[in-house]
Amino acid sequence: MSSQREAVSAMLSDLVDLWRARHGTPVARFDVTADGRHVSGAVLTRAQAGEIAMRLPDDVSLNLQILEDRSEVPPLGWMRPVGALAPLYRGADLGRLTTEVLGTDGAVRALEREGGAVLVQADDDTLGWALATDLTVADAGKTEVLVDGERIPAQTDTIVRLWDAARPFVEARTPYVLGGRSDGRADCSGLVSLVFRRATGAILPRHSMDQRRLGERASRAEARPGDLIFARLGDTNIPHVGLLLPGDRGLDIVHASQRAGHAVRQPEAEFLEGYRFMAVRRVLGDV
Amino acid sequence: MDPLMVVCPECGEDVELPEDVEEGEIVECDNCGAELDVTSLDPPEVMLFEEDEK
Repeated sequence: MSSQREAVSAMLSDLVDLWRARHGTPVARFDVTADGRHVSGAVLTRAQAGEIAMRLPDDVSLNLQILEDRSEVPPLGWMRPVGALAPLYRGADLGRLTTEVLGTDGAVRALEREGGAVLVQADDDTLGWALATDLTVADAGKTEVLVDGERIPAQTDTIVRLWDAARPFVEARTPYVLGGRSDGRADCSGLVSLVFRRATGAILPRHSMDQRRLGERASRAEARPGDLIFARLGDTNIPHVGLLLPGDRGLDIVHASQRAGHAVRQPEAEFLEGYRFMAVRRVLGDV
Repeated sequence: MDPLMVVCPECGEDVELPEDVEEGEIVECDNCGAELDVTSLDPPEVMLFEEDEK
């Protein structure tokens, strides 16, 4: 092990001890390269990432996921209290009460799990650990996500409305019919155009390759909920389009699937078993 | 890293591909708007995308 790696690892370990003393259970994962010149991983807060950056030598690069970043998909998805409320505690030992989340508050971001506890971020950004059995998975499209223009990014609201509009197609397994654009039948671009029309009022072009010209390019790594993903059907050059939404791990795609024969919601990796990636377009801008 | 440069088969202009482009991705020619199918990254090559009938 290089001496630089040892020094960087020791610095990170000291910081985690400091956070443990300050905040209770720390949430931090690090990977330091063998030469000690690159640190990657995840921390809970932007302030923690700043503390690390300040202490690192200039020649060490840093790439950290910040779990409390609301512009990102929650690492464990959205959750809500099973009953009227869920107490939130300072640490994963569930010893000291921090606050309570009410069932009527809407969904909270689930960030980390440790034993029988789940770390969540409430809508006022309070962080706390809840008993896992006090929470249930709230679908990314739950209407009970609290919409408060000042405190919840509009993106959340938009994604909720997109799923609200798409959900009936998925639940009804609306048949894939080329040329369809109605509740009873839809092709891929027809489904996307109907969902966007109902969720945002936007009028999208009818055909997938015209939809591909909308908005801005994003790489697959940059793709986020609300973007459109374009792909080819199997080995053909038949274009296909789907809508990206938050998944349990990574992104889900809602689309009218020729393969399945109906509307589906499936993880991106599963989607790409039947379709070959072609493009991601950000049509919503900074929503 | 050197930029990934190709020549648009439609208009003949130089096109710089995004540095994180993938093989199989469809990009547009900034000059003429042609849809370019990235068939190779090393060396960078494109062809006009031709849509199959559904």
